Amino acid sequence: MDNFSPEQYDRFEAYRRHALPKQAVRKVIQQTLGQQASQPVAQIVAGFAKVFVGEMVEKARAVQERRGETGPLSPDHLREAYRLYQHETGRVGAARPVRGKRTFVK
Amino acid sequence: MYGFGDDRNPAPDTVNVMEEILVEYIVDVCQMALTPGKKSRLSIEDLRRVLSRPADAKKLARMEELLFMQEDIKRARAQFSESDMTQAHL
Repeated sequence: MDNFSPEQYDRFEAYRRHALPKQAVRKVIQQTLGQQASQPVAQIVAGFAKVFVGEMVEKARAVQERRGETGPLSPDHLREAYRLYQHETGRVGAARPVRGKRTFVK
Repeated sequence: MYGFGDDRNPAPDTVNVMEEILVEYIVDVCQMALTPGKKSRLSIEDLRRVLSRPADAKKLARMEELLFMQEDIKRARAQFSESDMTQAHL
């Protein structure tokens, strides 16, 4: 960390300091499942969902670079990153194969 | 998003898309975690199972780290209130 430039340090601090709002995450869980979610569970989900944001941003940067573009990321970079993520991981559940995804939604 | 590599001032509509994607992701994870027909509450074990694929290794590791920290805090609190009680008896 001593070798960080001021910009790198600033970005690192932002990375460390900011988390997803726990109450908002909790609401999403509760609305999705129609049941109460405990505070610790919401905290855990908020935690790894933050990692997911990181994975999206990194992928979007890669997409942007491949296109030879610069500047702040565009919605399209992000959407493409998400599309790639879903393709590579077959969406979230291991049970859902990538091919099967298109069966009901044409 | 800045913390993860975006510009210091991310484009507002990009931020909106990120939120959409994020909510969809959380919804997906929760639904997958509870799918096996169970009517019971979402548990950590359910989440462990959902994150058990190689592509999710980072997220699983983060979850284990947070669980460990939660336990640590619980233990520290228990010890703290124990020593409080001890003081009271002196």
